[in-house]
Amino acid sequence: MKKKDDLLKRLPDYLKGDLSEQEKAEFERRLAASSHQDEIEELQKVWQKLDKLPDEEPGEAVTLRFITMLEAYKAGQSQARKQVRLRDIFNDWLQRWWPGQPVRQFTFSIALLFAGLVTGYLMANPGGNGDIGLLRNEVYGLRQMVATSLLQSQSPSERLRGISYSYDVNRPNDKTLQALLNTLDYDPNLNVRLAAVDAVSLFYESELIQRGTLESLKRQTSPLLQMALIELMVARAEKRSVNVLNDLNKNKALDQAIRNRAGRAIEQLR
Amino acid sequence: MRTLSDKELMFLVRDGDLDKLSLLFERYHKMLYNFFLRMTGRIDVSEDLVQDVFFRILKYRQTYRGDSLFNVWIFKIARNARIDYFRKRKIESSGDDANELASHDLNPREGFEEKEATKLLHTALARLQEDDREVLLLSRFENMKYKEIAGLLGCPEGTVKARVHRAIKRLRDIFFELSGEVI
Repeated sequence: MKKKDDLLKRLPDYLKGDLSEQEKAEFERRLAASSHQDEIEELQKVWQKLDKLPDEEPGEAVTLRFITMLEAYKAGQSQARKQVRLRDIFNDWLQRWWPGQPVRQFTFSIALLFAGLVTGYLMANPGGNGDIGLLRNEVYGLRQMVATSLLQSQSPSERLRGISYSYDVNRPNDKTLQALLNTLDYDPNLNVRLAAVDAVSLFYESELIQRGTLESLKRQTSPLLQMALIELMVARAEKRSVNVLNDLNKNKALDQAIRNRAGRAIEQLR
Repeated sequence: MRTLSDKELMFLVRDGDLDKLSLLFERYHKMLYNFFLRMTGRIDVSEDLVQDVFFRILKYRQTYRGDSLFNVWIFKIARNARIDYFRKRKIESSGDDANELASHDLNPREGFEEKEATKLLHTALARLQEDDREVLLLSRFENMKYKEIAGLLGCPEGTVKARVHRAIKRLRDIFFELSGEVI
């Protein structure tokens, strides 16, 4: 019994090829003399049979998802750095131009207030000349930059701000939309992710958002998010979600409320 | 030009060269995918988990110290990702019903007999206890040494070897149950 135990103890090392030449020869010599040779050789065959398990190729979607995620993350990082530089430039400028005397400070404040009011007035007018249109576009561009950078923040409240900034973006580019989708899928804070559902619903005309929210519905595990996304699918009459809703309806591991809502959603989408 | 090692690439990622993560992705995504596929039997879950691993690497790259071998480090992340995934869902990570590997023709290049043998193996693997299956996959397919696996799992090396032994024995028994043949 002791000899069999010793052999079995060494078997994992032997199978893995971790024994030295001398140890391997000793093992094989003892195996040949053992009455448990057949049993141990069977186990050896099992190990070798595992060689027949082929490696499967991941689909292209795996690579595409990774690239998208990486690009969105880099875009967010880049905007965050630009924001810091802009802030430093502004602070330097302000220190150079802010007058030292209190009277002059007061006068300067009034001038700034007036300039702000004028700009606000011009911005609020949909008409106007080409210069105003350019200025408007620059502001929207800035909003996208701010939104994307805030979405990368460590602070949940800043990320929430990033989402609310995105509401005011007129025509968000794919980077902003993908950043919102990534927030919906990966943000560690549930409140931020719930806010992201509201945000993506505003841009639902985008094919990227339509595909992204459908994928998100497949992946979400929080009942609140599942419910919010199901509501979105119904509100947008997204018939492509029926298969996913069917899976949710049949999944016994899910909250019964979610299953029922998914079932009703299927009826509503027919 | 010398090829950068995994550790060197990860240090570059940590220090801000995020594009280098793509090289690590190229090297590891298939290995991770197959690990998850053999653990869970689910294609969609495996795809999600691969994405999750690289997202975690990106998000927590500042914590990388390079103390251990890179493949051990990345599989530590992979294990945690899988555990978290199924803890949130509170479902079994693999069952015969959910095992796509055992039920689909995943490899079109195989002949009929080979496909049947592969399906049998997948089914047998799925029936192992999760801990035993994991140790077997790490040692047999990810080429980790028992000592490395022990470090990864936080258990003695002897325990790892015992699990490997138990897994192989159980596989043999399951194979016989399924096919009626001695392996």
